[in-house]
Amino acid sequence: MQLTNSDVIKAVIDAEILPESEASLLKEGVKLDEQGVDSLAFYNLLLVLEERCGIHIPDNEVNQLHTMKDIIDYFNSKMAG
Amino acid sequence: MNMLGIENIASYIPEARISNFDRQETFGIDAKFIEQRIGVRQIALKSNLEETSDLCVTAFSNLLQKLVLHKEEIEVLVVITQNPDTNIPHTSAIVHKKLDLPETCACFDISLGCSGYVYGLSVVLSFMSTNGFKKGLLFTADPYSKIIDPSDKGTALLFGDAATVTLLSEQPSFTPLKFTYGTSSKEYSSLLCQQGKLFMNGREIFNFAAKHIPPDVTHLLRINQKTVQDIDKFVFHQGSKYILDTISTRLKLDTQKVVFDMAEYGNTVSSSIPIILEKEITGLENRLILISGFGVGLSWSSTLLERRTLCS
Repeated sequence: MQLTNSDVIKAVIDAEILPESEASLLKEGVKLDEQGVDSLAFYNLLLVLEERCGIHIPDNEVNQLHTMKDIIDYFNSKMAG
Repeated sequence: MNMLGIENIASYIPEARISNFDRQETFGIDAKFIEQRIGVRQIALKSNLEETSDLCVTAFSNLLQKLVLHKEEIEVLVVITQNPDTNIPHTSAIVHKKLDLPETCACFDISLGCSGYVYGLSVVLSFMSTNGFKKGLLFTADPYSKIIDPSDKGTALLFGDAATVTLLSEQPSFTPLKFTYGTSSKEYSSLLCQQGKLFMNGREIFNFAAKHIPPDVTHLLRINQKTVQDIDKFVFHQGSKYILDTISTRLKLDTQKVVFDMAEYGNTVSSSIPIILEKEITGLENRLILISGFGVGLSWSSTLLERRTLCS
């Protein structure tokens, strides 16, 4: 299983973090907090992805994740391992 | 034996407030974060001269504004707190003295946080039933201002002081149905007081609430043979607006039925549910209310409160 850009956008929509019209415009390489996803919404997004992918992100590794690309790379490296 | 339940509730929220809008620059937050995320515009703050037991006494005075209660009728007094006047004795004994209650009245404290009120209802009603008691007082008072570091963004913007008292009797307006309980102790250190200071891991608390409370509500409804549509009001512990919104989203609840009330006083720990119930139990349209408390421990407890009528 590979996490994709579409999976992250779907999680943003399902968790009602952003409306679909805004979620579909999220840029992969731009910090999420600069695109309307603040710290609490970011935790929510990570939780939804953790539940869907069956992995847990320790607190000290959350601080390294800022963009959608960071998240996709992180999850895919964990799932590949 | 007649059925025991909630006859009435009174609360005391200290008048003093600290505005979160005045602290935007200090904590690097904006109005959207205050209104839509934590959902707390200002927190209630007790006076330094007020002890936990004093908050209880004032709540009791407010109860006496609503009804006639003879002190000699009170057979049990319980205080839910983790911020007592002192470690020894139990705060309920101090409240007992300040209210000048009879020596025959049983007193004990319950050490629980945000799940405390729901646990407390179950414990005290069972205690009263076992002993054939007819009137009891269940207090909540957990003034976190005693343990909050004013410079800690994660807690200083969120928690407020308050106390409540619930009169439990054989003339109930609401009685509980079946309860649920739970403990996720592997995360206990996510909300911890050490060396007199409160520490909270906001992400862990959010994850705990989002993962555990929706399935608990579903389980509670199932064991009581009810559906979401049967519930007139959902009264969740007021952890933060974002936590309530997330629980509501996950359960696909009608947001009109989910009570949000903490904006002007903050998260008052075990008092959050009874502060809301005090208002909601007076609304005759509310016949079935779901209450769910969750937090310190990390623990949770939920039940349904059903309105009693003269015929029921």
